[in-house]
This record gives sequence, C-alpha cells and structure tokens, in this order.
Amino acid sequence: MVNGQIGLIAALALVNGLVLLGLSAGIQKVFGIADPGGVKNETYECGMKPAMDAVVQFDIKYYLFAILFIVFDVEFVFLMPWASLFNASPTGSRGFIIIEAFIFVAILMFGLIYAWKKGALNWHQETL
Amino acid sequence: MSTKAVDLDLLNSFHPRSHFAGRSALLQAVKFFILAAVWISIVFVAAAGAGVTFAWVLPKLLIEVLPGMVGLDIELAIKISEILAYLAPTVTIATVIPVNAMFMVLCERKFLALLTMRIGPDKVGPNGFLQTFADAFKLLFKEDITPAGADKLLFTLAPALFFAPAMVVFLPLLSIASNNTGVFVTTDIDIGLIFMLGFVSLGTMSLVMGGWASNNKYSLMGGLRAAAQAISYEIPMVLAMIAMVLVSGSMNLVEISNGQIGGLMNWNIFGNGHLPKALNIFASFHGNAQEGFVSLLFAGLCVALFLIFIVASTAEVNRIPFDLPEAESELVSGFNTEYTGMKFALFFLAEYTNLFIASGIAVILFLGGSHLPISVAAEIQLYDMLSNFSVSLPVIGNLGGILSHLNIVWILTSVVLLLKIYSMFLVAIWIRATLPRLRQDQLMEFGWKYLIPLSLGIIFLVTLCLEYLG
Repeated sequence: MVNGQIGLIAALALVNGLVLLGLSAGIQKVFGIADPGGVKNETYECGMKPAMDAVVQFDIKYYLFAILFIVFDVEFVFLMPWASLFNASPTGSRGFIIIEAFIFVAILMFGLIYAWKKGALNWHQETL
Repeated sequence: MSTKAVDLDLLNSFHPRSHFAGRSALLQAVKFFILAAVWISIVFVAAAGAGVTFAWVLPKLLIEVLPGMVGLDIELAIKISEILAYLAPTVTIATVIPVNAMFMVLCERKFLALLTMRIGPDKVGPNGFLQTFADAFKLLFKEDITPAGADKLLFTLAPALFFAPAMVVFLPLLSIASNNTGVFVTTDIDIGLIFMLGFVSLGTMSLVMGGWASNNKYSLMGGLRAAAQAISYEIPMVLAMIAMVLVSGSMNLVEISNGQIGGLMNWNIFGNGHLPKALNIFASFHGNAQEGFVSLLFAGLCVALFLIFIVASTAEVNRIPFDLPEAESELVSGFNTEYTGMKFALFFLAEYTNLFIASGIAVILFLGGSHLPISVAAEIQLYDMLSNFSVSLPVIGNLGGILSHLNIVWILTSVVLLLKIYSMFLVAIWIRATLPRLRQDQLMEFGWKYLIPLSLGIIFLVTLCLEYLG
C-alpha cells in the first residue's frame, strides 16, 4: 500500500458522496423542484403535530452495552496480532502463547460474567 | 353474502399469487437467472472497463502513443499517467458501487418475488431490467426536504459519511478480484481485515448522526438501535474473523484467500483440508483415531464459525431478521425516516454496498476467495493458459500493442469472486424471505448471552485443535 493512499481514498470517497449530494441539489436549483415550507417541513410523527423536540433523554442501557463493548474492542486489538502470529511461532513455544491469551480472555470473561450476574445484559432491567 | 363472495373473487384475481399461478415457476426462475447474468456482466464490464482504462490503457496511450503522434512531452505524460494509475482503484470503486447496488436492489426484488411466488417488477424494460435505474433517476429529481428543527450540517453530512466508509472498505476486495495485477497491487493491505473493520464501524456513527440530526423520535430510536446492534454483533463477527486469522496465519485478505487453494475441501468452511484427513483416518482404520476426532471437531467448528459469521454480519449490515434500526412496523423507517431524494439514495446505496462487502468478507474468509474449487495443478494450468492467451487486436498505429502485455488471469479471479459474492447475496435474500424480525430485547440478549460466549468458546477450542494438529 502506497503511503498516504488510504487517506487520499477516504477523502475521495467522502468527496464522491458530497458530489452526488451536490448534483441533486444542482438539479433542484435548475428544475426548480425545491419548494420548502409549512407542513411539508414538519417531522413525521404519524400525521400529528410533533409533540416536542426530539433531542430527548434516552435509556441508560445503551450506555451500559457501549461500555461493555469497549472492553471487547480492546480485546480484539490484542487478539488480532496474537492470532496472526500463532501459526508462525514454533510448535514448541505455542503452549505458553495459548496460556497467555487464555488468561487474558479469562479476565475479560470474568467481567462479562460479572455484568451478566448483575443483570446488565438484560434488556428489560428492573433494578441495577 | 353473495356480494362478499364476489369481492373475494375480485380480490383473488388481483392477488399477486394468482398472476404467478398462471405461469411456470421454472420459467420465472430461468428468466430471473438470465436477468441476473446480463446484469452481472454489466457490473463486471463497468468495473473492469473503468479499471483497465485508468490502470493500463490511458497510461500506455499517454506514454507510448501520444508523444509520438502529437509530440506530447514525455516527462509530463509519465507524470499524468502516474496520477491516473494512482486513481485507478478509486475510479473503479466509484463506477462499480452505483451499478452494483442498482443491480443488487433489482436482484433482491426479483429473487424475493420468486421465493414468495410473485412476479416482481416487470414493467420497466424487459422483465423489469431497468426498474432500479428508473428508481434512481426518480430519486435524483426528488425534492430534498430538510425537516424543521433539524441540524442542517449533520443532516446533510450523514449520508455522505455513511457512503464514504462503504466505498473505502471496497478497496481490499479489488486486490483479490484483480489477482494483484497492475496498480491494484496497491490495494493489497497487510492488515486488510483490521482496515475493513475499522472503516465499517465508522458507518454506524453516521447512522447515529443522521438519526439524531433529523429531529424525529423515530429517527433517534433508529440511530440508537443501529449503534447498539452494531456494537453487540461486532464482537461475535470479529471473533469468527480472529478464528480464521488463526487458521490462515495472516490478516492479509489475499493470503487468506490463497491459503484455501486446491479444492472445495481446502476452503476454511470445511476446516482447511482437515475434513478429508479425518475421513481418511476413519475410512482406513489406520492412523491415530484421536487425531481423526480432533480433525473432525476442527472441521465442525469451522462450519459453526461460518454460521456465527453469517448471523453476526447480517446483523451488522441491518438486514432482516436484524433490521431493527429501520423496523417499519414500529419505527416508520428508523434512522432514514426524514430522508428524501439523493440523501435517501446514498443511504440505500451504502447499505447494499455494505451487504456486498459483508458477503465478500464471508467469501474470502470461508469460501475460498477468488479460487475455483479445483486442484492446485489444474488451477496453475488454467492460469498459465490465460496468461499466454493474447488478444489479437487489429493493429492501428501503436494501439495494437497496448493490451498485449496485459495478464488476463484477473478476469477469471474477479468473475469467480463476483459469482461467489452474489451466491452469498442470494442466501441473504433467502434468509430475508424466511425469517421474521426479532424483538429488540431478543436481539440484544441473543447477541450478548449466546453468540459471544459461544464464539469465545469456539475460539478456545479452535486454538487447542490447531495446537494439537500442528
């Protein structure tokens, strides 16, 4: 991979999306399709007038799952290189590598089991 | 009573199934596959055309033909052709994504119709051939509405930010499809899997962004659900990937694909050659029975990992039965409720592209990548034959020599990869036609309480099996 190509392509991809949006905006300007205002611009709420602003408080349980996910995400960062090096390592030394990774995963599993027992994995939470 | 009976008759005559009943199901299937073949060849020609033009034809023209003909400065020509070659992967992706997504939508509608005994779109073009083209054209001319109270900047950026990662993640597929020829070798990334994972996760953020910026409760709920679902199912998906990295010993997609060369039984889904080994041991009554059992267990674990990967990636790309973020029965249309016109089209485009990429990763990790299920010797022979095959174009000036040095093995590998990905796509449609949607609590608890412990346990067993088998 040529250095900097990832950045270039990511930028081009974003530009591509924006170009498509700009194209449709241009078409609307040229053909005069856009006619905003009034009831049309109201947010859809089953045909009723929107009750209030949609920037509202939402349930804490999303946050709990996100926190748990972070733990596992860090785990992947460590397990991916471990997995790709496992085959390359000499057969004799693999026992140590396996035990090392298993201790690491076991600690995380302990965390998962703790969260499970505490009821953090239940979607319908009565008490926490 | 009689009027009711008449009404029912009338209803029945309009029921889609009664239309289908008059026609042969086999004929409909044949028509579908002809349509699919034509569209896939269009997708392939568009992708290959863009790639070949930018990677080979234009640079060669600039360097070999134009300086002689119009006296172009050779230094300048080399510079321009370098830039063109550098852009080739991006241009290929930008060409293939819209064409491909257009066909995927049509393919889904037609195949779903076939599975539910309907006819599907058949009015625009022969057998509905141009239906999605017409839909896309219509979407381009739709009025673009920004709802009152919406965060304008985020609302506009979200579709583009959802589309961009889908486009970037397409890159590593190109190096496999093109068999690492020409400038496409630059898309062969050593950490291909992590690269793909990282960019795929970015897409979720824009779903939350679009949902929040819409100033709509349904959108907000859809965005939140999309985030919760993506993070929950990413864990089993990545664990299945890690298991395949263990088997292949590399994170490079090309190496993973090449590790499965040499027949159906060498594909990772059948345990990368361990299934025949186990069967041989059991059939001959010789050899170590324990080794046979471990090999058999390993092959079984690989099938289980494939199933886990399919389930998790279906959830990752928000497909039925996991399409909670846009569940129309409860959330109207979820995160894209307020989107119209081109913005909606971008969401749609990126969603189908994500599905294509998920199928692509499944094919590369488990189903032999771009390799045919034939022996190594036969494949080498086929490749040799293809690379010796030269196109005899009529000689016009210097133009005759342009394509002669082109290694055309990539045509075979990319067609094989494309067909395999589309087979996986048909499986995804089949799943959609079969399964009803889950409830949110079922979705989350299935992910966290079943799939994650299961996949962690399987990783444990796979490691031990690999250690035992050496």
